[in-house]
Amino acid sequence: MALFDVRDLEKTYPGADGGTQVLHGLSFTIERGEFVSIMGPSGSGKSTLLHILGFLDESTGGEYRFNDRRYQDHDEDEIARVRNQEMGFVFQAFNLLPKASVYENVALPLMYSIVPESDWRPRIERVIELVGLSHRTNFETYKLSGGEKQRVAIARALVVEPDVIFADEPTGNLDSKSGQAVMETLQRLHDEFGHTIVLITHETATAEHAERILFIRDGKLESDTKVANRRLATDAFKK
Amino acid sequence: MNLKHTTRTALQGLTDHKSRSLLTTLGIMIGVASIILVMSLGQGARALILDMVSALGAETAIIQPGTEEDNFQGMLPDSLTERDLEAITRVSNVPDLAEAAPQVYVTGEVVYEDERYGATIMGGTADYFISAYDLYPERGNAFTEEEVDARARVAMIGVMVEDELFGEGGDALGKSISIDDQKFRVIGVFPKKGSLGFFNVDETVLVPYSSAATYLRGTDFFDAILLRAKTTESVDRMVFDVEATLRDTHNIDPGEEDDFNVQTQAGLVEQVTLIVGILTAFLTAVVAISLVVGGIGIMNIMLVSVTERTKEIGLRKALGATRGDILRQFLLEAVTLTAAGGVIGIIIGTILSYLISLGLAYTVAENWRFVFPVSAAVIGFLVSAAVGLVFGIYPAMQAAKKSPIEALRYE
Repeated sequence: MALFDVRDLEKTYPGADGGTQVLHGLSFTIERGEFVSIMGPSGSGKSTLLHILGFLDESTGGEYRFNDRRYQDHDEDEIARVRNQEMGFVFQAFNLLPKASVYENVALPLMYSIVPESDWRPRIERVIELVGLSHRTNFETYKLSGGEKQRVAIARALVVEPDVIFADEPTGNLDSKSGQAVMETLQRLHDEFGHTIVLITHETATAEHAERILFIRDGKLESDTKVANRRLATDAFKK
Repeated sequence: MNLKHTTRTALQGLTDHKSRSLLTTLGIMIGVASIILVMSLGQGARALILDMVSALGAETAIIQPGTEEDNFQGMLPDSLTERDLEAITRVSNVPDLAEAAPQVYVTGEVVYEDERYGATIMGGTADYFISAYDLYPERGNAFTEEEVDARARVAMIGVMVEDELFGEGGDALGKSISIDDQKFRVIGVFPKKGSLGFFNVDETVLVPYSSAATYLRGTDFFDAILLRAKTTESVDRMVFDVEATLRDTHNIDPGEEDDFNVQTQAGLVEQVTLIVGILTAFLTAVVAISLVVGGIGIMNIMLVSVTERTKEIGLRKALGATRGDILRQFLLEAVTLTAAGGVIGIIIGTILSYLISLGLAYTVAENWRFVFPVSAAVIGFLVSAAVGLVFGIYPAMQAAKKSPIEALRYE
């Protein structure tokens, strides 16, 4: 059974003249352990797709199953629990609590989880180390560089050991060097630790860090291709 | 999210904007401080007045002219005269009466040569002062019944009056002082005694009531007649007899309203408690309005805060916060804010009440005591927390129902 099972997915935002249809019948599956880029120009519907995949929004047609569960079958609190325990989010704008420390930011999802408090510290320290920020553990996050902030966000997504990490334009607010560092972290999570990663981007170069690219245009799946020459972020550093 | 983390998150939210939090809760602080102030001073005033009343002695009563309503309007009707005094002192009329002393109040200054002093000037009987307050002149003599009957121009004065008019250590005995251009000879000086019930002995000039009425007021009416019963138990019977006698001398028909009123100490206590209670309740109600206004201020700022933190709310929801988590977080922020304001208000109110009590004790009434109103403090705290709950619920609901995508998109 695929982790993501998307069939004829449609999304129409309500409005005049029958509303605005953004997604026009998308179908694909993503298996556990895949690193997939969802790519498309702006306005193609990729953000809408991410919201639906991330259980932040509801589809209006077709069917979407995540871990064999549908958004519609659950009440709000259960949806919140799925987001909390099975999904991790990394946003373009980082969305950290600026006055809280790195440690506190990473702890945030645990506060809403059922993970016992005694397990928090080892988990938090492990993921902070994983993204290479152990020396910044007690820094307030507004003092960090953009690249560091995004790695804090990645650590925060990882701390609940989710089934998938959604990364929405994670390098969009970063210079190319910091962006490379973030991409390297994501690649390592997948290549070394086997995490499932869904990356949303409009840049081909960024998308090519994944193993597979779903190209969306005008709310339709235009192509679904394996990446022939996968970019490795570590190479960029060597140059 | 458990309570510990909700609390910590709420506190974080508040301390991130320290000066705003402080300003927001200022209304609550002032409101609660005012409650403490009003209640503390109210209770202080009550204690003071009750002290005064009890200084009169439980066997005493007072007749005042006019109906009870008239009295509160500060009118001095003319219904009590020498004839009434004669009637009630007749043993056959009021067998339980031990003593009746008319009083005439005079406003004005006491003058000796170039010195002037705004003393408490009373017309009365010397006997009553002696028997009711155990107050003999320290130097000189009290005036006698004969002097009262003769409308003698004699006076007994307190030490403060003597000091002010004759200088420290000066001797007033035998000297002539003027009240309203009328000369009175000082024949007695009271010992230093301070406050006694409703007046301060040290600041008092006592002249025969007959003289005060004739020379100083130009009427033959009394402002009050003080009564003393033979025993505490016979007070009610005495009052009953006095009322019957006065109705008779005043020709008041059955069913007609009295043109005088008799108050016992117990009655006064009841009245004082009632008046102070009503005043305190009224002032508290006014102050309560300020708490509502403070609450609206809280709601306003919380709404601004919710809008400002839309992104944070969206993030928390995306990371797994439920509606309930967000609701509790913002509600707890509001309650913490107002409860903290309440506590600060209690502290400020207590300090202010204490200072004002000190000031009052120094200037107005030396018997004024500071009272910490425990009930007001408890009520103030609970009300301020409740204000946070009531006025925080709407902003918290607004926060809780934000959709995570809308919230994340918000710039």
